[in-house]
Amino acid sequence: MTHHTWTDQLSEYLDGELNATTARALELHLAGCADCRAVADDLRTVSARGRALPELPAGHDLWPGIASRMEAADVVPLRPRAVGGLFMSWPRLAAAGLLLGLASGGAMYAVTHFASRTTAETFPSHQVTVSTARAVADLEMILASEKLDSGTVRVLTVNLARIDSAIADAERALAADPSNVYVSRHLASTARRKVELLHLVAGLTQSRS
Amino acid sequence: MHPLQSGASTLTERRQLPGKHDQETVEVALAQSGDSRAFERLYRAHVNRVHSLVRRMVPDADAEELTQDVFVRAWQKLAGFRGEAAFGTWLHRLAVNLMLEHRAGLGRDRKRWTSDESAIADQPARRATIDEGMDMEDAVRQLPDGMRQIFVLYDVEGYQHDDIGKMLGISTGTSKSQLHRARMALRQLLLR
Repeated sequence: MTHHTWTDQLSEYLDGELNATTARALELHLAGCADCRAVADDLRTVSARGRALPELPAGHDLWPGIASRMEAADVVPLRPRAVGGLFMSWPRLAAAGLLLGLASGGAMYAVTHFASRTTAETFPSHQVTVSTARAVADLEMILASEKLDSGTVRVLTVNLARIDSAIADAERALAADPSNVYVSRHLASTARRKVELLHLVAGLTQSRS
Repeated sequence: MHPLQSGASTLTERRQLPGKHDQETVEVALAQSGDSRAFERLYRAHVNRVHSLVRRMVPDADAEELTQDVFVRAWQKLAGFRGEAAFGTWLHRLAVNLMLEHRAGLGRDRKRWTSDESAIADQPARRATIDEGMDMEDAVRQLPDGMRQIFVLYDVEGYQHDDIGKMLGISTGTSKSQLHRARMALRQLLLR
């Protein structure tokens, strides 16, 4: 091998990506070649300095610009899961809303007492960037167009408010005890229930339109 | 353990701080439910790393706008995040993809990773020492695009060659050779 060939393999050697035979041969060459040893030392230093580069904060807070663009983009509306006629039945809607409300209230107990059984849950894959206020507005719109009776709207609105209240409670608890994993999980599961209810609302909107 | 692994902080190690994951899972779930305040907290937790990545990968003048683009895109695609990787990993991948789109918009293409090889001439081994006082950031900025991006992704950000190859649409071998050329070029720039 030429001197140049050895040099070309130094990065892979330093990164541990040469096979054992080639690495051993290179090490034998390095043992007798001061020039290549110097290059290897330099490359090691270059890599270390690259890893040590500090973060480069932006010159100013970029959030205001991001927030305005998020709002202006009017993100993709909530899309329902394909669950057939579930959303058409008032009794089932009411039952679902009630279950969500009960689940929200009971989640802290369940999480606290059965934490060891808690497993990572997956999040809905649909776009769900809609606020509670917007969901309520959608419900009101449905009501105005007589697509849904006032009782259904009331149940869903009440449950959305309960979930928001539970989220707020959990956020306060987490602020007081940031390392409490049970509260963290409760907050995540409550937020997920809100998503599920919003899916319900969106499905209702679609099925009635 | 190979010669460079000793003492190195890998990307995985950097991301898995105790307690951080649970908190972030909560923030992501809230943001997925439409809570922009939770998304702002995610922004604040990650903006410096994202901005650092963007700043080193694209011209300075574009860095802040592209950083904003990354977070707006993340908000739009957040529902597609299933928690299979850390949120930071997902966000970084999204940032890299956005920067590649930016490159494409500037009319640059994949040839950039091979066509800039002549930009830094091979130098014979020199008996000199690296100037510790020279600004590494300036030296990195002087690298040709392709070399700089691979150096940043591998040595600064901790990605592996197979990940870089997939992200940039190049072979693992090209990634390795460009990394070596980038390091050699930086060595020349830093030599006293």
